[in-house]
Amino acid sequence: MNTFIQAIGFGLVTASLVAIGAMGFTLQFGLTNILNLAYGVVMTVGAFAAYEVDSVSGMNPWVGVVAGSITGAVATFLIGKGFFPFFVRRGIGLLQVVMLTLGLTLVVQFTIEAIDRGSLYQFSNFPTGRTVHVGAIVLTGTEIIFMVLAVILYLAIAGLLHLTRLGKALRAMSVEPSLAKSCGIPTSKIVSVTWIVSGFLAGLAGVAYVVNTNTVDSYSGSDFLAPVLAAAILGQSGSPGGAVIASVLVGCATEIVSAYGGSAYATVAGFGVLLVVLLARPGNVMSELTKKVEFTV
Amino acid sequence: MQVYIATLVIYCGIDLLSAWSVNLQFAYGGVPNFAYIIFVAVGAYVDGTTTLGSAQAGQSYVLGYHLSFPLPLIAGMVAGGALAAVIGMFTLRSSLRRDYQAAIMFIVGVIALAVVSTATNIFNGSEGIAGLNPPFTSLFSANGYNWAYAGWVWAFCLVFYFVVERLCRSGWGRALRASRDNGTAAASIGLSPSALRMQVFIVGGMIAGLSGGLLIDYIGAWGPSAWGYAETFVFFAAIIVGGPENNRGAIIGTILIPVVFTELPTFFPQIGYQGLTESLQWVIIGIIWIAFIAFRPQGLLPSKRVKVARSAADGPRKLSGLRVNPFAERRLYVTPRVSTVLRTDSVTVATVMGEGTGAALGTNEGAPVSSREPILRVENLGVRFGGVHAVEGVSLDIYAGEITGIIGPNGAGKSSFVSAISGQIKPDEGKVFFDGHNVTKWPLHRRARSGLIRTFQTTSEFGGLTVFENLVVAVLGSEGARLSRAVIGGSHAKGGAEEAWERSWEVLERFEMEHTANMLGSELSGGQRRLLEIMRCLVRRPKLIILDEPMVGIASHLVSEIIEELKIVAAGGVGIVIIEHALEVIGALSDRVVVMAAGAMLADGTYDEVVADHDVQLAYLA
Repeated sequence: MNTFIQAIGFGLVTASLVAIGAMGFTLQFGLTNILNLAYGVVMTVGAFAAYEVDSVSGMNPWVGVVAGSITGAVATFLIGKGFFPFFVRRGIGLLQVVMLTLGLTLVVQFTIEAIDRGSLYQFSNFPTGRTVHVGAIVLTGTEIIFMVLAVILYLAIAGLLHLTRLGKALRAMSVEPSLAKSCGIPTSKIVSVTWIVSGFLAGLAGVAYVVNTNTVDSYSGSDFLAPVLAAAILGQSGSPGGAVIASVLVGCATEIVSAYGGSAYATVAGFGVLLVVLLARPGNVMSELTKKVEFTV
Repeated sequence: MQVYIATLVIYCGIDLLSAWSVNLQFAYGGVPNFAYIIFVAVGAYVDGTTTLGSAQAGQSYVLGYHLSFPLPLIAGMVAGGALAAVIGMFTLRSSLRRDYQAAIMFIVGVIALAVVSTATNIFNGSEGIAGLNPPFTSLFSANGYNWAYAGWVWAFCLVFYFVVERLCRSGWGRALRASRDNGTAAASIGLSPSALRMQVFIVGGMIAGLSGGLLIDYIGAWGPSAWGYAETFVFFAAIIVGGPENNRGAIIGTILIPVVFTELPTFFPQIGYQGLTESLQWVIIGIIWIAFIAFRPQGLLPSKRVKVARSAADGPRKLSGLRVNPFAERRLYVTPRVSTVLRTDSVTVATVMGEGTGAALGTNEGAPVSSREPILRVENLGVRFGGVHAVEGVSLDIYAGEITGIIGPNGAGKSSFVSAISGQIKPDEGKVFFDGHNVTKWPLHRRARSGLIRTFQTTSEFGGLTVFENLVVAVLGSEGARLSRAVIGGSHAKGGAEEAWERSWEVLERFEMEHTANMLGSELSGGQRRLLEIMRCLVRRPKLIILDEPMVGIASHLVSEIIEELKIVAAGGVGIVIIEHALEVIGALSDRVVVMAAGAMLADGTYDEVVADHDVQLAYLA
């Protein structure tokens, strides 16, 4: 029983990391309709930025976290406003845009690999903080910080979407971009804000992931993309709340399988949740997604 | 040097098999298999373990049965196909968007590599397996063996080139392309898009397994690091560069990307540290990938259109569909047929002189005209979308030979009603009976096969097929889309194809659309696409046709001609249901009119009766 409870505890930690990434992904996807698989390399870019700031500057490691998040925001903004519009204006389809993001993944990931010589770096300077015991669950201070951060970010994003004019406009654009534009909503500005916010979350998720695993390399973001994508798809497009709930499912499934079946299958577990839902109730996952075919960039 | 060149020739052949497999799955079938490399890997793994036998000292793996050459190759092929069947069950659901399928496939590839690298008991972890003895080495010298193995690999390439070409040019290949372009429209003519996708996925998986087996037989070892997800992109890049939907383009792409480009650095001095060149190669592949998708999506060798033309009236018939010269543009020649139109006072009957069959265009030979048993019975149908009752408690009988118009304001539930009847969506309540069968739970394609055909509110053509192919694929339907028929062929297949070509040409002439025969569906105007949909319904010889706003975008002179055509069709015993906002069309065409509003049936009677109905005027006409 203790093993199970501990696995739940670790699962909530994993869930918080996944939730940060999944919220960013679902925000981006919900508005733009672009299934951006280059999100993984943005997480990698954020992770490396944090590592470089931490190892070079000697400042408080949390400065590196902020630097990584800002780097993710900048990278995503450049991709969103510079890369995608060029191709969307040429009339590419849903599948072609995914292929473009895969091409971009190749370019960025292997550029990083070329620069870092394919090495694996230790993120060992990052402080773990005090150890906290909650029943059978043992958490470090850093893990608690990331969990609290995930909750705060969710509340902030939910508040943004439902309590502000910007959020209302964003939700309107997600459903009917053409109508939103003709109603006078500044669509370009909202798209820019979305890229920046989701990129910030991508960078932060990438940093959180490598802090948790203690290592960073050019594959970090791609490895983390699987559970993030599973949670974002499961939670349904454009729904941060759904992404959080799905992240808890994915995170707990991952850690429970890891505790009882071995870490080799941990990455499969989270994705397995998605595959089971896809097999049993594809309509639940895909209900509103199949209809929208246009992009908003 | 000789060994190096022989090795290159071997790798080129093995990569070419993979390129054709990816081309078949992705370009023809529309399956974005970004986990492709794991099918190659599983074929290699099974070939390896069934060659080695029980786990060797220091290695730990499963499936260690010793089989004699070339049985391990076959085992590898079967393993590739089996893995495709398993993964396809999850990822090829028809309700999934293709970009989602692509993302899921990509993630499956990433996860597979992670699992294989750490599952030491099953796959020997990151060490992989080693110690395979290459086959038939005793027959050749050390130098001669490489060329002999190259000959072995290219023998497979020669066989599979013709197999893949045959499959792609067959009715199955045409149905595959139709399903790729528009799955719902494909289902509406009796094709099963999910079955076709699964078939091409499995066939591609088997070819992938074979290529993996050939590779491991030559190298003698298998390690997970060689099967990274990025390797998949090499094959996709070969297809994108060479030309999607063109197997000869795949040859060019394979030579350029996996062979020439990846081997080029061998001839240049090393730059920077060891490994930098490989990293930069991947960066350049990514750039090439993006550039071709953006600027040259058709690749270096675009796919050839199948064109059709009419021969001289007294010239010999040339139907070269099954005797294809793969190196020439395919042309089909159709001899002109004499159409006899008999007009009576109230009924116009068109007959087509075809081999003495007297088969009528668009008529149902077996159905009685104006039978009192309804061809379609709908009982208490209800459709809900969340909290919205789109259709509620609607019952309706449709009779063969009768034209029923459905009118109503926007949001009345008309399209939802016909979508539930046709099987595009599942009703939440009620039952649908068609031709005596309870079809309530039947999917769209099964109802289409039984004779219930429909058009869609938004035009639904097969954009990547020519107009003529759009019609041929409709005529042949599921029978002509059988994989077994594509493989075996035969006179029955050929006869069916000839009839399909003739019927398709005749309906083109009927609607004066012969000049569009060789245009792609995506090149048509909006009105022409509508006509194409209607023609596609008629060539199917349906028992019931459902037309959802068919006259949108049609030129006015054609509207009256289409009305006359539909009357001819109905006179032949076909039931017709038509949704239209153009009341003059409904008035001219319908024997009976049903009015819907707010999801319910408001009125049912002749056109004059419903137009005069007070409730109808309030809800719709006022």
